Amino acid sequence: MGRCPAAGAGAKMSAAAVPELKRISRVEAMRLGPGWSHSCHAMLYAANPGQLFGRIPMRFSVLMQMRFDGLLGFPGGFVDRRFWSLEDGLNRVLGLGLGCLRLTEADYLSSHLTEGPHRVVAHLYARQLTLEQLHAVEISAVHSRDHGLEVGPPPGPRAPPPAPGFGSGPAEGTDGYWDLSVSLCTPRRTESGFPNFLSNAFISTAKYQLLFALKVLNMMPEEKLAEALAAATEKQKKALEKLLPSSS
Amino acid sequence: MAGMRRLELSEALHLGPGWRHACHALLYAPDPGLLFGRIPLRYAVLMQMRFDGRLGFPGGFVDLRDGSLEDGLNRELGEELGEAAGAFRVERADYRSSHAGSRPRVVAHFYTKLLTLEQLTAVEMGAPRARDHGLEVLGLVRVPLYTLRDGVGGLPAFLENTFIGNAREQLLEAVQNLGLLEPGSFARLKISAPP
Repeated sequence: MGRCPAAGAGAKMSAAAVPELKRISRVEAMRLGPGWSHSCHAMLYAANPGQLFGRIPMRFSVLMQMRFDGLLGFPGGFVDRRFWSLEDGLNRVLGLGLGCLRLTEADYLSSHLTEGPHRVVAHLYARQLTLEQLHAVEISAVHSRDHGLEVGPPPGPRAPPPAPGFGSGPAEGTDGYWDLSVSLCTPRRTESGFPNFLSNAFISTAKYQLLFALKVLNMMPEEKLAEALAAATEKQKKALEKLLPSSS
Repeated sequence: MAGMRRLELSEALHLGPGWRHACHALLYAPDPGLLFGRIPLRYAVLMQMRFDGRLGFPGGFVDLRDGSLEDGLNRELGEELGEAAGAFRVERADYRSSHAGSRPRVVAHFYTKLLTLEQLTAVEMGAPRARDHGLEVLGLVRVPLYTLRDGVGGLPAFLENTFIGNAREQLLEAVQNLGLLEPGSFARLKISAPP
């Protein structure tokens, strides 16, 4: 189960901190040569005053999606910088379902170098919406699913190398498609919800980006994130032990 | 859930009042679509991300004093999936299995229901408006039935997610028994399934 962020070449870890990919500035990212692929993803979220079962504060709803490859991730995908600015590329990929929602440079949050042998820099955007707007995105996302699905990768010039977990993914465009939107509730206390969610199978970049965004947007204190991550890793270990035969 | 054992429906229905019953349904439809214009989707199979961050099937607890198992299941589906669930009814003929756990004392009944793709997409489109959306149900997902060229992406990766109870085993059994995968590919799946 190689989906939890193990200490790798790109990630640093300390006992109390949340592991991070190597962050670079936007300027540095734009200076990277043509051997680098750029991916842009968006975290759309809303403050949620609701309570689960009338007692657990939801705090925020964050949209993620189940990707074509069976992993959880943010909406977005590869952007070919020869043809599009980062924002135009991202909106093009998202625009399949988001109507008039357009992300701009003001929504840019970070650039990180991804792990693994492929040279991919991942740009993250974040936009806070009202709960009603977020709900509208969820509703329209399902309608656009089929369109993204039928549109295969455009016959292209150079295809970026497959990133870990992408398999035979698209050369450009959405990482899959708006299969669905999962709204995640991040309860204030470390209820089992968020650690369970973290123990799912993520495309690794998205997991790092989620933890990073929750931290820098002050949606969850770093200690809580670290606790949730540690609990999630434990769950994954236990689940793995149950699945593997003891003789192997 | 500690130690789930399979039992016959008749035995399950005769368990005493100390037992709670839960019913869940795998809704599926043939899907002629192609991923990236070349990989057959074969079927659309619905699961959901639950409030507790785990994947599971729609459904929930039913009270046999209120009606049959199927009455309760269809009511739960309406609450979790919304109005589009009213276009079909899960019946006894769709029943597949029952498993009982001892801690807590819950017996889980599993159903599989074949829909048209139109019925299934109507469910997906209406789900954000369902009563439980954003609370008990965080969102619906489709299960990828294919395996990508790397041998991992698709169904094998999906199975590495976190599932409630024995939903993962229920999914694998249904996928096999209903012939949802490309013939012969179930045996080639690089996954570990408990015996």
